[in-house]
Amino acid sequence: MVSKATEAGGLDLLPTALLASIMTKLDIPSICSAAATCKTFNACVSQILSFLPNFHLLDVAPSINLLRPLLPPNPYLRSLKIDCSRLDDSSIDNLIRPSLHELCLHNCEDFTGDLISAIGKQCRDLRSLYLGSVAERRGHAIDVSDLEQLLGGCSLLEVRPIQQGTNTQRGNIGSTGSRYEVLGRQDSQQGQESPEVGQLRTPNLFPRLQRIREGHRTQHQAPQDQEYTEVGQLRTPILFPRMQMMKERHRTKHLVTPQSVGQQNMTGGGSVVDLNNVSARYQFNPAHSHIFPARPTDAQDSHILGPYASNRAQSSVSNSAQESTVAGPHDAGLNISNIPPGLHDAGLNNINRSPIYHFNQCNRSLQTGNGRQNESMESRDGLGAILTFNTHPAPAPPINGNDSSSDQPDRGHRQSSGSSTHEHRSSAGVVNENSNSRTTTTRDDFLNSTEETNRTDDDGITVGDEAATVPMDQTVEVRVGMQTNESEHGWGIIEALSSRVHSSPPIFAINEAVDLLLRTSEPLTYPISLLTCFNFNLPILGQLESNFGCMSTQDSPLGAWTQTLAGDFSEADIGGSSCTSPSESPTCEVGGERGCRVGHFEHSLESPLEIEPINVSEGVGTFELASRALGRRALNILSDIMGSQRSCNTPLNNDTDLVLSGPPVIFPNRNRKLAKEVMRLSPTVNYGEPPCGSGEECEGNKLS
Amino acid sequence: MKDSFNPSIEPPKKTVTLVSSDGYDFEVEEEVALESQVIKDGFEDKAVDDREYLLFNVHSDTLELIIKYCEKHVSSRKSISAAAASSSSSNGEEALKEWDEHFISVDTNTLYDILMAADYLNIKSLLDLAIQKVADTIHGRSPEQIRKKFNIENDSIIDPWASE
Repeated sequence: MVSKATEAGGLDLLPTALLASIMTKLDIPSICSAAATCKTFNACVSQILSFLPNFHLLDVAPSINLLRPLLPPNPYLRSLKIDCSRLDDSSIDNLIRPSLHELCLHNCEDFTGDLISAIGKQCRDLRSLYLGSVAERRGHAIDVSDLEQLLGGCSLLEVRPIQQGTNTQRGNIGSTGSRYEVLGRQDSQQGQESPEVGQLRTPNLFPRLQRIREGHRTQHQAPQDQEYTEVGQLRTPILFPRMQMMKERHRTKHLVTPQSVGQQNMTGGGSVVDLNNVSARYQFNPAHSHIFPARPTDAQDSHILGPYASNRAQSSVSNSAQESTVAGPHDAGLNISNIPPGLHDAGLNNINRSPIYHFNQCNRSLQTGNGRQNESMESRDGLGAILTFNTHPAPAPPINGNDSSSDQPDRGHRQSSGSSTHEHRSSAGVVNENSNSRTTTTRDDFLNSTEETNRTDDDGITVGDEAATVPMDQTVEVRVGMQTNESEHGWGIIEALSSRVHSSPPIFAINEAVDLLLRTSEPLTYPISLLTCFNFNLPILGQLESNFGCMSTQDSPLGAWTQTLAGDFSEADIGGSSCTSPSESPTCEVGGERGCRVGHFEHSLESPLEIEPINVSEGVGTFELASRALGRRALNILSDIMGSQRSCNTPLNNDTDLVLSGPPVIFPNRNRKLAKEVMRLSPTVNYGEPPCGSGEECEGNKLS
Repeated sequence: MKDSFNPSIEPPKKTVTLVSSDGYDFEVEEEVALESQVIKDGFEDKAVDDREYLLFNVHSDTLELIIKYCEKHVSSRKSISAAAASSSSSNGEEALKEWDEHFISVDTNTLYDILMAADYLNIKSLLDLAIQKVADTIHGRSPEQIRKKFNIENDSIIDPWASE
């Protein structure tokens, strides 16, 4: 017998209702494919798009011209998931629908806070929200009012942080930032709670969101919601201080005068989060995941001092109940001390799980250390990594070149920290401090220090102007070496030695932390403290930051700059010549520990190797890579980052020992003085056998 | 001797006759025929001795498959309910699901016929099964592949993805 289908024809002859039923079983790409087959299907698709409850299109990133016909007015649209890589704010009207219950927008880099605001205005019934990489594109911003609009409008959402251990299974989008969920509240009508309703990937929004939500709840809701409030409080992370900086971002970026720096109040320049008797001050850049300390602006701020006189980033987490919070200018990274016992017991675990801050049990000596003593902070995170900071002898400040001999680093000289009085020399003067008391840097001191830095050195080069982002009289050798003394330094050592160039080139030894950072074969799921970039120039810092998220570079020579800009490396790619803050001047003492902490590696580093060679327009340095663990790939990355020639990275010993030596790799630098200094000093450095593979390429590294 | 109840003797099952479009008669149990909502709706209106249904839109080949499907589902439903009553573990549903997948794994024309017949007879489970099968067949295919698979004439619709 002959089949009816054979007689009748194809599938397009099916009744429209039947075709529509088939179409509703398809995903959006398949629907689009079916729509392109024939006019019957096309008409059917155009009909079903007006009542399709789910629109999930994550495989491709459609443009608005493509998306517009696919998203006709649809009052039944409940779930919308789109890759917004090619969309921007102009498509908000097409995306945001009042009927939505679930909204999942990936790669919203080109959107601004208007997206969040629009969601809050229109999507009143939203129960699930995922916004990936909102406003991460340079120059975009999320205003607090947008968040307020979101949480004020979407009353069915609640906020909670995502624990780090649960990230991988949820499709980490983007490269930076912590993740926060906006969870569906307990639905009183249905009695169900969505297990995972939404996520906000914008970093460090949680505390503010929580505050907004609680405030909103206090204003608009009855006390019967007390249970939720308690739950929300329990979910409150211990340290998320940077939310308060959101509105101050632009102001922070344009801190061009010392007066403006000094006049910035703590509300704007830093945040004080007092949770569980812990106070923390940081600067905040919502677009990045940096940990930047708050800038001391008030003499009453007894927790932060000295470092700012020397333009050293500083942040501390201390027991607010005690007055012994002393942070020397040479302390590296984030200092945590006097953690209350309760925090050690319970709260510390929360800190460990917090996406941003990985603080752990810290040696108090770090808190009281300074650059002239060798002190260490060891912290053990919940994942077993030991983070060790070692503070090395500090050389003299780079500006005051005459006193360099008195501050030569002495790696062998180590003193124990304690109650001994330390002397911090900075451009602002001398700060005497000990472990229990100290002289607080007043606001006037700070202003004087910043003003003093904006002066002209003896060669007529303005120090502290927009070009002075690297110490002028300093060459840099970056040595990526093996872990030299494991028993002493532990895992993740950051050993930084820097000195004036007259005696020996400053050396940075960066160990496997760098290697871990740069190797991409294994995803980094634990926090590491990382290379420090005292002599890493701004593009490097920016590149590292952009690739690895929250990286604090407070002790880099550009620390002041980054500190001032709250970690905004937006100008890094253009060589950092736009640094306009007077506090960027390299008044920080050469040497000492240059701590650079990577707060977390939440993402799986899927593509950290996609480091594009950047135009390094400043800084000089040489690499010496002698690590077994450091692979060729990492070397290439470092080489690319630093703008050096690959030929100088020729491996010496069977790919196991990579030595970049011989002629120092000199990076392009517009500062002729610096270049000359490098050229003058480079022959005095004995690096052993030049491993260069081809002479002409190595020649290309030299500045002529 | 008085006749006693003998459970082994079942009462005669009520049957209905389904006539295909090409004139073939299929006598099926009433319970099987009632899987079709169309038959079920008009079942009460018909006399007991006149329960014959002319299915003008269903070919005999297709009708045979549909009867097979309905019989399987009726028997499986009985076995599942019996297993549930005896509290014995049974994977009848999974077995039925597997059987459905095997049943619907037919060529495109047959699938088309089953789809049309299920729609006509309003057998919801079979209709869903066929629709899902068609959707699975379409899924992941390019427009040209869909045309080829389902014998659809190309009437020059521009591929929206081509411009991308």
